[in-house]
Amino acid sequence: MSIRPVLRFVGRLLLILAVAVTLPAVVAAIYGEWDAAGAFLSTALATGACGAVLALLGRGGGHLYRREGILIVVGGWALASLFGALPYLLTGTVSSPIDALFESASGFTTTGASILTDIEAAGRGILFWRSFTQWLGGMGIIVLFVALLPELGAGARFVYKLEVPGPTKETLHPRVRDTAAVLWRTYMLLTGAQVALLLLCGLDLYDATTHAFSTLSTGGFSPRAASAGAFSPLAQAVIIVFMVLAGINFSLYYRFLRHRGRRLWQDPEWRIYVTLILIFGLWVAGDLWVNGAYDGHGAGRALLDAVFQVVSILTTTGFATADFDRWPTLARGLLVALMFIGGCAGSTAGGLKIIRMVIGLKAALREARLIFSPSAVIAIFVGGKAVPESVVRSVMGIFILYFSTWGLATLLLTIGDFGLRTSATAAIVTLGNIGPGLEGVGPTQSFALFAGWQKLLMVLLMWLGRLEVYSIAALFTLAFWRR
Amino acid sequence: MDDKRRYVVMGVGEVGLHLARTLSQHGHSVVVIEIDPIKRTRVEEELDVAVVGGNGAHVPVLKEARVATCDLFMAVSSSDEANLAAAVLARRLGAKRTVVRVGVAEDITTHRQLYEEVFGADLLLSTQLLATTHILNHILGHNTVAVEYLAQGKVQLRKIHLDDQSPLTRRPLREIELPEGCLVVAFQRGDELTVPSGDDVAQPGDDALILASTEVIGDVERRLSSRPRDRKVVVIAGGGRTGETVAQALLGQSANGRVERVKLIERDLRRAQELAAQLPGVEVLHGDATDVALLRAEDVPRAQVFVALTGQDERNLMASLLARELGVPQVVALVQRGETSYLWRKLGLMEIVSPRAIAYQRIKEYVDQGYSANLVSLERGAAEVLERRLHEASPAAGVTLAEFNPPRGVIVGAVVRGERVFVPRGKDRLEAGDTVILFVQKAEMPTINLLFPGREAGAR
Repeated sequence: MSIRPVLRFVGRLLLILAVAVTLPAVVAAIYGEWDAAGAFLSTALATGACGAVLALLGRGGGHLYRREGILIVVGGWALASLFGALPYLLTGTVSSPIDALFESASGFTTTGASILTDIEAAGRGILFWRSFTQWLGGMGIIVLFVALLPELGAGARFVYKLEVPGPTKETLHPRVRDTAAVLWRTYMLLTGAQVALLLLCGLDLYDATTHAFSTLSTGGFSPRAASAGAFSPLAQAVIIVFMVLAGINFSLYYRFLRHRGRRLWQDPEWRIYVTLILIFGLWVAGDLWVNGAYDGHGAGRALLDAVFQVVSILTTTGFATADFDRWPTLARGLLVALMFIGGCAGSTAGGLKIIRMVIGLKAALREARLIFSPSAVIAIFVGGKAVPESVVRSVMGIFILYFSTWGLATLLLTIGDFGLRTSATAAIVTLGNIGPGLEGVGPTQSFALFAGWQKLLMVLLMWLGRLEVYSIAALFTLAFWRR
Repeated sequence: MDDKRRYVVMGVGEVGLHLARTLSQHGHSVVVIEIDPIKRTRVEEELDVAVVGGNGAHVPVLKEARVATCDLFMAVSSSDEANLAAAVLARRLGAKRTVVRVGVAEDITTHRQLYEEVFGADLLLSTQLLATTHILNHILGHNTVAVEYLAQGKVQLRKIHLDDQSPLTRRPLREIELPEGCLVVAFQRGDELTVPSGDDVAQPGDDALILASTEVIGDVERRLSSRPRDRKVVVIAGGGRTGETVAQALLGQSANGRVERVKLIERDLRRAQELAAQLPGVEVLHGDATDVALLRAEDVPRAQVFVALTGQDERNLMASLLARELGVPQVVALVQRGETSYLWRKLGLMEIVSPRAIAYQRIKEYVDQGYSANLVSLERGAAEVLERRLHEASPAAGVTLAEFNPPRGVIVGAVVRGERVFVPRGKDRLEAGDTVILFVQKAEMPTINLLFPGREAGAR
């Protein structure tokens, strides 16, 4: 393994990040928060300086192979989270470095879990930064990196695939750099559209932008204490639509434009996705209605809140317009079930992804069939296309790693006696990059109650979830470090 | 084949060897090009032909074989690429005609015209496709003698043999119910070709030439089949190219729902996985088709048809005998070494298909018919099937068929408009951009060239 290219590219990544940090500095300056602007500029300087040093150290040769690629991706995410934590400390928003790292990692991984207890007390600059990190992390900092830097060469394809979610990674263009550029352009276009619509709904530019950032990235940070609940039902409907859009495979948009929508319905994952939203939305609304949880608020409100929460959890966004922790048991159970599914592959959503659920279930049923027909050779078809066996194997592997990680993390998070529901949902919402869970980590609560080491554990869970387990798990294998 | 001619045969596998032997026995002069020295020695010992060593895709080798003066260049080696390259070169060097053998069926069904244009091939054939047609005849009780693919495979012209049970015989044509999109173009009795009217009656022993869209051809075949109703379970042993094509065809339109299940046994696990991925609907089994335990476990005894299509004759023989022993009523086998077919028959395995013998037969027909590749070109080209694209300038564009009133001896058989294929009636209008399939008797060719200006070659 050669360390030089790793240093070089991680260094350049930090340089890009340094440029990005100047944007919240401008926002802070606009709102007259001069201290915060200074904090952002110092962060930019520190990040830029470290980036330059790393890039200099890594100057020269060294080819990118798979190990280097893995280190770049994992190292890139770790360093982005670390340097992204500086503004929280420098502005004095949080005092503990661990809390700052948690908030920053929660931003970049588009989780949306927060340790802040009084959100609106923080400055406008820092809250903008929170949403902006989610926007950067949503489409992927590595994908951005691949789109901006030509010299990654053939290694680009591999690092790109490490970051883009989902078991099958189609590239729209022969050159992965062009694909990355198309994805970012689509992402920006959708963000622009949402900002415009939210402005029409009466939000100011600041709210519209920050919420668009957290919606399209399925992040869920909101500068408002009441989250999206602070806005009109119309604005909430707009947010629902864009959460749904963010949870769809982004390459579908590209195909949609090319084939005028004809092929859109052929994608099985997106059909299941829409069906899930409809069924769970109505089911939750029905349960709220039956249990009288919304008596006096009207059926429309119940339906809107139900659909909003369902979409928010399924797409792993994590906005909340209602304190769903106080909902009836079945409604809560339905939301928890959705936490294990997640959005579509190739979207900005987290979780296991619908396509993996489909492949995993089919593969498991295939094993059942092979019991009585051992010589049968059965391929797994999704949407009329056979799934390569290597993908099936990888899906089964992720299932095992994902659920055992969740189990172990739940166990460790019970230390300190927060209640099993708090611990179990805290583990899944960080691993699935969702945001709020139940009880102690419910939508109106924060993650501040956990011990420092437990917060670090959850930072690791967020990274694991965002990079889909394998690239980080690879670092824990002995063979990775062997020469 | 009365007059003396010069032939060059590239590649002496079974097809090439057969061809070289027969042609030289008929007194023609034959040059053989073969890359394999062992096969060369064998040819030199057995046949009275000239032998050139080397790869036929190289000009010096072609020159040494003197392709410039040959009447027919036959590229029938096992390599598609070499065959195609050799054919182009031979044509450029002056060979009068070329026959090219290719492996992949789709090359012929869908892209034949492109190949013929680019590589200047006069006859393009695929042993695998020919074998598949014959195997399907056996399985489905079809009587297809030959198939010609037109309009990128959207339209087929089939020559179907009419036996005494065929519903097409002994009744006037107008009383016979055929699906829409299908046309009986001609009856053929010996060398005589009649374009039938509604009152004409075919006799058992005749061949019918039927033009139909690929979508309905299965239905046509079913109605003309002697066994139209049964639904079968078919077990295929061997998942090579032929096995794959047959399995695909059995679940596709040509079988028209008459096959209930297809099981495919393949020995190589990787290949089996590949097949399972490519053939949804086919039950792929990994194992040895000569393993009795496997055959029993997978319910082979209850199948109606067993088809042995592995690449090895020994395996096919063993598997066929086992299947018959297990009680499968119909056993069809692929035999590579055609000369052993009498041994198979001795063992009671009557339904055998020898792809190379079929390919040889097809080429021989082509030579015997005076180099006319077309199915209906009889008596040295009395009639032809043409494929023409309708230009704006054509007088036939924009008029209904009734107004156009084609002369006797010309049938507008099918119109391909975009993805749609139909047999035009009197009120149907021909539009510029349509591809029309025409059945034309020789005398009317000049008229047709006037009405449908197009490439001279057409579909031919």
